[in-house]
Parts: sequence; structure tokens; C-alpha cells
Amino acid sequence: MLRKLENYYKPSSLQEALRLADENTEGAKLIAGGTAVMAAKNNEVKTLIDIKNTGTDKIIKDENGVRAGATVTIASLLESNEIKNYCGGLIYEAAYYIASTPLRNMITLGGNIIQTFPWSDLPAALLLCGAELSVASKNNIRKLSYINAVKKHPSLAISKNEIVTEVLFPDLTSYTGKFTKFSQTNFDYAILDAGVIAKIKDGAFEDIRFAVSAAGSLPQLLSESAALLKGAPADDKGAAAKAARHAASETIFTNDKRVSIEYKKEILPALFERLIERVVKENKGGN
Amino acid sequence: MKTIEIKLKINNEDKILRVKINERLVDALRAAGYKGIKKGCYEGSCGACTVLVNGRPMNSCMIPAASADGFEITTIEGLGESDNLHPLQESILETGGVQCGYCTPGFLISSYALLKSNPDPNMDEIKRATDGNLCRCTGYVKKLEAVERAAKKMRGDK
Repeated sequence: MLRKLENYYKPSSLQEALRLADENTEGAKLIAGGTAVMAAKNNEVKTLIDIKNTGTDKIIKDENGVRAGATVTIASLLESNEIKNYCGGLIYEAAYYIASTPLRNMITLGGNIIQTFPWSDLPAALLLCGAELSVASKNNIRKLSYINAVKKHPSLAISKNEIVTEVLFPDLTSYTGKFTKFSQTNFDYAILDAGVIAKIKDGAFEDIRFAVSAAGSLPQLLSESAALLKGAPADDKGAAAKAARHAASETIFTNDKRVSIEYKKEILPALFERLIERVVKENKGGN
Repeated sequence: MKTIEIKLKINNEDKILRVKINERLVDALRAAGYKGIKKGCYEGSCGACTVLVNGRPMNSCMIPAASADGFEITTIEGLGESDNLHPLQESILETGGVQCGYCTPGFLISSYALLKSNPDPNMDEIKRATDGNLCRCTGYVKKLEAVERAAKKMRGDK
């Protein structure tokens, strides 16, 4: 219950939404799916600005990659062939296990990005692909890489009078990506999320990236671990195991009341080894 | 608390509801007489309050009632009548998939959405479609069988 709520606006254009966001920075919250605001029961919220009808719900592919509007729901991401085919299914796999069917019909891409909860599944995939956000304010549109947005937290990198309108998943045609969620049940929050993308040329890793989330408070790119595999033969399982083990020491873990940090450190290398195996297999034409 | 008027369609009937600005859709619908919708966790976890919004299952506890202006909503009351049950309602009775019954309306609404888009789902698809509807009594087996059974009835299979 939002006990102090006084105003509810549902603008029918982005311009109107930006004007309202500009005029209502104190005690105002943007909502689209609304799940985070409704679950938080924040008693300081005085104004809700519902941006569902602002026309930012399309998914299109162009020469730069795949562009998804910020109010695209997780369910719509999963129904999009552009997303299914993007980078070996990286974003599709990350979105697949988010919450439950009713919640996937509500949760939006932009909301997921702004909230970036420790257990959110998409952030690791967004880091891996180098996602770029379009952030609009009343008089300006700026580009913000997701990597920069999560240096502290997206809610600190984006002002209260700004609205994320679009996410660009950059063209990664020559890459294959895989993602996995480790949790007690499908519906449960992740204990660990991990993802790998790689470009394999002449049987060797020309480029490879590792990312993890649900380990610490923010998602992390593991550049040291990935660097151990750059140039290595793609079928070198020993090198893959070494890089996967290094991921456990490179990752910054924070306490999780469900499992110990030691447990997560044991699990993480196995997740990365399996992901590398899947990436290599798909690159050879398997699945 | 400030109130506003919302116009929406509930079970194919045009309705005008006056709702508190901070009210949740589940509470507004129950206050309007749709008591088949159950109040549960109020955080989108249990699925007892699931309704169809514009054809898609959603947790009505997570939707501000104020945002529902213009929505088309289907509740369990919209599926069948007590003397003319929907195949899903019939099947869940036949398989014994109801114990306390608190989760049943939400579960059936999610299943209804599935069968509308996929008349011949496999068991994995049924589980996936109902993954947001928790049941603490049945162990799910009979409920899931009920969806398979209803799908067969709706397809006219023997």
C-alpha cells in the first residue's frame, strides 16, 4: 500500500511523461510494470507516473543490433524472434527464468534495468553484450552504457527527471552466448547467475567474456578470468577449467542468508565450465 | 484518500469502478463483487489473485487499480457458471485437483490463458504456464493432469 500516494498520471506520449518527470522529482516514481514499486510498499511515494502508454514497447533490428523499448515486458522479449536469435540466445536465456508467468507479463526491461536488484537475471547478460541505454530528459537524449550505469547503481546514474527509453543490444553476429541461473526452484531468486559469450575463430577463442550476478550487490564482468582463455584452443578443457576456477576468486561475493559464500565459490566454476562447453558445442553446430 | 473513476471491461461487461488512488486491483475487484479472486501474498509470489489483463495472466495484487482504466479483465467468474462449468473447472473436479481451493481460481486463470494460445500443450508447457500459482495442498500432480484433461476435452479428443 502506498499510503501517501496523492497523484497518478498515465501520460500518452513520451514528451508528456518527460514533462511530468521534470515537474515531479520529489516523491515521484515512474512505473511501467509496477511490480517493484508495488512490492516495495514505499510510504514516501506521492506521485506515480505510469509510462506504459508512451510508445516505448517495440523490438526492432537494425544495422547496429537489436533495439528494445524500455516498456517491453519480459514476456514480449521471450516472444521476439530477434531476441531468440540474438547472440546464441543470450538475452532469451537470461529472461527465461525471470520470476513467474504472471510477473513476466508485467515486469519490463527498463524497470529491470533501473532496479538492478542483486538477484536480477538480466544484468549479467546486459554486461556481456555491452548493452547501451537511451536516456531521455525533457531537453536531451543521452547514451549510457550499462557497464557505466552499474558502476554504482543505475538508479544513481539516471536522474529522477530522466527516463530510459530504449536498450540497444549491439550487433554480435560473430559471437555465441549462453546464460545459466542457479536457484533452488525456477521461480526462486537466483543464488548465482552466470553468462559467457565468445567469438571463436580457427578453433580458438578470439574473444571471450564472463559475467556473474547474484554473487554481490551488483553484476560483475570477470575480465581476468576471460583473459586466461583468450587465444586458447576452444577444445582445451584444461584451460577452460582453469579460467572457470579463477572466476571464483575474481568474483566479489557478499553474504547471502540462503547459502554461504564458500558454497557459491564451489558452484561458480562448474557453472562457467558448463557454459563454455555449451558455447563451444554450439559454435561447432551443436546446441 | 483521493478516489478516481476507472472504466474497464470485466468478463465482457463494461464497468465503471470508483477506486482509491492507492488501491490494488485485487482489492478493487473484490470490492466490486468478484470474490473468486483471492488475496494472498500481496507481493506477486503466490498467484492467488491472478486475473487475465488484456488476455494475459497477471498478479492483480501488483497492479495499481488506477492503472486499470481501459483494461479488459477476465476473472474466474468469467470462465463458467455453476451449472455450466468450463472444461478446466470440470476437469479439476474430476481429477481431484482441489483441496483447500484457495489457489484454484488463479491456477485455472493461468491455465485458461495457456489453452487459449496453445490448445495442445505438453506437460512442460503446462508447468511453465502455471509456475506463478503456488499450491500448498495438492502437490500439483492432479492439477496439472486436469489441464491436460481439459485441453483434450476442448480439442474434442476422446
